[in-house]
Amino acid sequence: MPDADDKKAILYNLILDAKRADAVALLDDAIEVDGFDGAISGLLDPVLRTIGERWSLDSISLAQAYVAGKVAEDMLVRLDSSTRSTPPAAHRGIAVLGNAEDDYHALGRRMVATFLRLGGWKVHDLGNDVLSKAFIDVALEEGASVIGVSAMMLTNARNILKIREELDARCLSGRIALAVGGAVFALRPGLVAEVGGDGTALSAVDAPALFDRLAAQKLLTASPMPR
Amino acid sequence: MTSLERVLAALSGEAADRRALSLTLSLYGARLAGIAPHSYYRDPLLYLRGQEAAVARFDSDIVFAPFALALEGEAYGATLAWYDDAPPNVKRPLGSAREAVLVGPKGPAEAPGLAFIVESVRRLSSRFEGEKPVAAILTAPIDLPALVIGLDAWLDTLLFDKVLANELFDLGVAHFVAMSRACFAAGAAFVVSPVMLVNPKLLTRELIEGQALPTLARAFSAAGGPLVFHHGAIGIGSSLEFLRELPGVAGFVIDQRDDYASARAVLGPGRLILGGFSGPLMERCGPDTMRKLAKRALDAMGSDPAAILASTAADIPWDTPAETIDAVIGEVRRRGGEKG
Repeated sequence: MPDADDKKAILYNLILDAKRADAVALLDDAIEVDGFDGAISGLLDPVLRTIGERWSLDSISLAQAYVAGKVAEDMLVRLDSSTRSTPPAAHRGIAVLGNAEDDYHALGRRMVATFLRLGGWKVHDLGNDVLSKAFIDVALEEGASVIGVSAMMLTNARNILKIREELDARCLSGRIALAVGGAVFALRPGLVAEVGGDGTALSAVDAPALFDRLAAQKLLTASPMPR
Repeated sequence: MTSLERVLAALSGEAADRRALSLTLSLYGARLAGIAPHSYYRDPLLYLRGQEAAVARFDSDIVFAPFALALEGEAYGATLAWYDDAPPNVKRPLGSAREAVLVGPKGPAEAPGLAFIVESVRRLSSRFEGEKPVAAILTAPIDLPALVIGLDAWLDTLLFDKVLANELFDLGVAHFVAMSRACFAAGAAFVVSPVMLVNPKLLTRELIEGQALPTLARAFSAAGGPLVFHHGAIGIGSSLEFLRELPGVAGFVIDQRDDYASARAVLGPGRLILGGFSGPLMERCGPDTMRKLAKRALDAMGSDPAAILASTAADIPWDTPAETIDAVIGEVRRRGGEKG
């Protein structure tokens, strides 16, 4: 009978070998024994963290990280169909996601959305080519604490600055954090500050930790609502 | 020596009057000629005018045909986004992999964007005949589906639907062979192909060895002329060991982060290497930094005759100050034939 560490190793290898159905079956077995919360926190989460760390170090491929995202998506579907509710850890916060104005590279954003949802975030995904006003209007309507913006190329990443300017102009920079990500940020670490970002993550798997941290910081520093 | 003679010398590993220099100025030509990208990347005459302006201003040893891979995606139904200061990009891919297969392979006769690429090659080759080699730039057969259906849908197909993936590989091969042969017939000296999905940072070893490499080999062996394998904006140092045996590849463009000496050790003497500094980063580097980067790259190349100093990754950005580009040219010319 495999112990907890054995199961993590098995799940990790199944994901790396792109054996999505087998990985999901293993998690289904864990849900039978430990319940959904237990299977996620005791098995899937630690494996995803390992995958995130190794992805950041380039020791696993984008394709393998993509499989991890698909397995996470499969678990969210399981949860939806069984309880018709948000994940058990939900209400860690509300986030608005989208690609920067003129950016159409959806893969990273979609993976971030999946990992955030699995991490207990309620996500409003606005898709590609989102204008700064739309990000902020939806964040206010939904009560989001973090706006997450993805951009692959430098030209488009610079459009994120418009979101920072709009947040400043509407006196919202103290209330809503701005998370940024995408390939160009890994190449140019100084770009986060240049576009007015509050932080970035090395990989999609690391996004929930970033969003948790940014939301906590905003809670500590929040100014009163503008009237 | 003319630029053509200089580049041919590097290709054959022979000495030249100075190190050949390749600056990717496909986009920058539009800026120099004052042409908006949405016109520039549609009209071969305007493209020629832009490249004439680039040659007149910078005199790079290689002239590039349009670096606008999205035009190849458009041929299969992807819609494009246009910018004032960048090449077009894919805005909305096709809905599904199956849909892409049903569209079938396209050549220049069936798609205006592909005809534009080939006609641009023809006009550039005619204009610079005997002076400068013209390089066509084509999407790798294994990457074409990512342009057509989006990277996530292509990854999904590669990982979870091998039958459909093979059909898309066949599409990519047919497209690449048709386009490369058309470009060579139009006068291209070689075809540069940026290749993404053969990199261990993106795909698993199993997919690279079982799918990507055999597909590349199939396409490259039928390309109809010499190819230059471009790193695709990711370091390829660790991949050269298995890439060096690909057929038809006359040279490799390596990333700024790749170590030149290691690349030479893997490829062996005589195989052409183009490398030096990232084109996209030039916008932010002043002349002094670029001079140092060029010097460092030239030092690394030493007296190796089979090397070309090159801007790598993507185009040199629209907003790059001309003096920054001049700094690189100045360093190459200052060293003249010393090559070391």
